[in-house]
Amino acid sequence: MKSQLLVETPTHKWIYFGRDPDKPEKIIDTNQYMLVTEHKALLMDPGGVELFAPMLANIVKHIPLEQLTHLFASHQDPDIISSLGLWDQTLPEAKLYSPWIWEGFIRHFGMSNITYEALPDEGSRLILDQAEVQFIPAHYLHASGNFHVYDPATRVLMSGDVGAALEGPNVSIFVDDFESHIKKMSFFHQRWMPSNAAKNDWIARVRKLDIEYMCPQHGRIFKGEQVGQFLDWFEQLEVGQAISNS
Amino acid sequence: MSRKRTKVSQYYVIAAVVAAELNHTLTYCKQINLTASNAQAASSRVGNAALGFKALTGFIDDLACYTMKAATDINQLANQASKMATETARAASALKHFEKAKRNSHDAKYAHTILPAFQHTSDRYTQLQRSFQKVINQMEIQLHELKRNLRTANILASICRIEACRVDVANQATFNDVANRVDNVANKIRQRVDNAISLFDTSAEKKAA
Repeated sequence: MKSQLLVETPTHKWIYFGRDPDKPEKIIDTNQYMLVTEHKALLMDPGGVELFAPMLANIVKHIPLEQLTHLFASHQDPDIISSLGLWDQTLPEAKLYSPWIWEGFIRHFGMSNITYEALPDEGSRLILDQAEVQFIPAHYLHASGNFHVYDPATRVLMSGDVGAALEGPNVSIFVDDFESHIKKMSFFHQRWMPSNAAKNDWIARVRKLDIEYMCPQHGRIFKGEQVGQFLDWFEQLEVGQAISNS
Repeated sequence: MSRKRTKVSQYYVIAAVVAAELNHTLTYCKQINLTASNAQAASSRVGNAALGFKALTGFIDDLACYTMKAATDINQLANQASKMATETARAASALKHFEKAKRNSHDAKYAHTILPAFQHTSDRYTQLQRSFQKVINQMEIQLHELKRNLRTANILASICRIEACRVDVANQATFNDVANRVDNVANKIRQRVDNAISLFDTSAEKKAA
């Protein structure tokens, strides 16, 4: 599994994890992100059961395990958080931030130690040492209760399934050419995203944020002007395709 | 009971099947209860000649109540074992993942920080295995005890037949029918209990093989 520093400030840094070469072939490739402050760390969308061991092995390259104090699950999907039962035995004192509507569902993955911090629909904030992140509502993109994480200091938006692309496991972690990347994203967004209204509402809110890195949970990271290009492209895309197909 | 045990994972199945087998016995116990009530009514109708038989109906009723309680208790143990098996399997799975992470992080700066979680899970796993084994042993002991007590049913049935001889021919059939029912239902229960016990024997054989 690759892990690399994405961005760093004097108070905190973002680390990327993904492209695991030992990942079983038929499970979807995922990106994980970790925000590390002086004494704490927030692991975002920790991944599925199959990813637990490589994630653990890579996290301890960067921080001691006891520094990992917070987890975030953007929604309830297995590729996001089915490793929870294992994290629960690893980090019994940790807190998991996730949409309130999924608590009863996510607990099915096994959670008897970690504390569930239910995120209200309107979102909230989390302070970790000197860093403050915002949980940005992204409901119906694609899950009916869904959040993204925005860090104004580093201008990083962890965008969950928005911006996801389906491609091979050994590609670059950054988008190199936006135009050629579109074809790897179109089907995913048209088929997985259910609501044009939710999509446009999210775009309007996200346009107001200052974003340098847009980091999806699958595919590649958008940098600089690619973020605006993505928002423009996404705005004109009709989603919820399965209805017209059927 | 001291023989070596098979894998916890097999006990998932054993606990579930034992619970199912004992669930059937509860239905049979209700049938014995009903038989005992009918026998009591019949012996009242017959009068003094059936006094001995009337006393027996109380024992039949007691046996049904004992069997029902024993089956319920074993069922509770089976449920407890099933939950413990889940927890044990989870701990075992976590240990497997920890081992993998340890192997892959030997050169990581903070690799040693995995150890406390690994050790804690390992201790918990050992503790769960011990507790689980205790419940399984208890379940097996109680099944054998239930089987032993079911022999009383055959004795009761035999005495019922002897008592039936004391009443007039017209009522003998009723009392013999009660004896047959007690025998029949007790055999059904014994069959279920034997099925449950055999699961433990099979798993021990598999382990030995």
